[in-house]
Amino acid sequence: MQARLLPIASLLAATMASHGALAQSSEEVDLLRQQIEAQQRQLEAMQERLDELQRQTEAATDTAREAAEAAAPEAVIESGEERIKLSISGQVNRAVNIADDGRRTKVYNVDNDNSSTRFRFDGEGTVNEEFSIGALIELEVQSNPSNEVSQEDEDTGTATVNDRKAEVIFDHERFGALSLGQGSTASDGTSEVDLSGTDVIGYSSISDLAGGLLFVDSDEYTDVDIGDVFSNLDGLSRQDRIRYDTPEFAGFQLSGDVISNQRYSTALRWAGDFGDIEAAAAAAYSNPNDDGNDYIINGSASALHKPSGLNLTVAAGTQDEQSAKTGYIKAGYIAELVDIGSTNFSVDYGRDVNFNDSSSEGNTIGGFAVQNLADFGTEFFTGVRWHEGQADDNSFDDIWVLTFGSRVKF
Amino acid sequence: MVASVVVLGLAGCGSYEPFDPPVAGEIPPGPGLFSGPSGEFVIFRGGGTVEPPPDETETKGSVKEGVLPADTANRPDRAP
Repeated sequence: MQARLLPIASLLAATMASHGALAQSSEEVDLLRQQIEAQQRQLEAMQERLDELQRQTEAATDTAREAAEAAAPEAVIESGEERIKLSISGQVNRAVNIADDGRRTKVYNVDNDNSSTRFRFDGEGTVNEEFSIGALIELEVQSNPSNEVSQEDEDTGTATVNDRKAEVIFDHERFGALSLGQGSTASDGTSEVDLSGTDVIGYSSISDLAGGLLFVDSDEYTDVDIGDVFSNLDGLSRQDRIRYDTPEFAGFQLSGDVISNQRYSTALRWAGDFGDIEAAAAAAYSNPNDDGNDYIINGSASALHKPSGLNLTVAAGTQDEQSAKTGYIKAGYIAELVDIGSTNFSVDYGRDVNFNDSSSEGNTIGGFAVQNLADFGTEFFTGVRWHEGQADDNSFDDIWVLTFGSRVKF
Repeated sequence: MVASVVVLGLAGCGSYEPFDPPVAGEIPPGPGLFSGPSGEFVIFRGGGTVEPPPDETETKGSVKEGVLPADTANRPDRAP
């Protein structure tokens, strides 16, 4: 009997245990459902709060924008013509020259006349897709120009303002450009084609950087300065003129001008990019209409091998007066040493004869470095130049000039 | 003479592209410290849309930015 009851009791116990487990599982499900519902309510509350915050943010942004627009000043200068532009640009270019003239060493604070301190107003009106009218005023502001200070005049006084350019330009894509007023003559710059990136401190115009320094003879200052012995015969510079430039054809451009006082010049320029090589050249013929000087013939060329950064520049010229001649050569290297901009190096040699008198002679060697800060329109430069001069049958003491400085385009 | 031969030789190459060389002594092209990438402060600039003539009903004197042709809007320096 007892043996028969044992399975029944076991079955009853198992059934009761099963019912208990089911009851417990149902309670857990209810509990989970309640928790999920509570979390759902919390999420909905948070979403409402987020929506409210977003609305507040948008409202605050609109308010701030309206306030900024209300606070912004009205354009002070406005134009009634829709196809014009007027802009201002300029630069400050200062240097320190430490010069040993054979008699003593002096320090000169100068405005670097290689590319003087200046500002300009440039206006342009686009008449149609082919034709534009421009007006340009460029003024130079120099305190202690590097080509004027000397051992006897170390401080040239208050800065002077000189008019470099004041011209109107009518530029047609097919018919060329006509320029009227003071500005570059056709021959200006034809001795100064230079792709080395170091022209801010050293280029063919030797006398720009320290041209006023006097040569020394027998421990006395002479009346011959660097600028008397060296010249790059760069045409007729800037003058009051009427100038015409043809459109470019295969990189060539022909220019000519008529200048006040019966002077004129004409020039041929060329420039091309051949992928790895950039090259440019210019040549000019000028009539300066001076006593004893009826012509100047000059030119220059420069080429840059872009992958290596190596470059070569040459310039030469001659004039009627005293059969003066100039020659110049420069070798350069443009390196990418730092991320801020290229670092440019160059060495040059120049020889000029017969500029002061029929026996004058000048030789010069220079070495230069320029560091660009490309994004900030700034260059730092340094270099040294040796000048050897003779004139009036006298050989002078050599002049060494160590230069450092900076050009900042604003 | 040598330079002329080199120039003519290079000019005869087929892969020629126009190139505006920098002009020694002039304000260099490129950014300015204060003026930024354009290198110049634009006091005012018109619309520059040269195709249609200005609509007489439009308000004159409004300052409109940045639609000049690229070659004139950022020209580094005038050629002469």
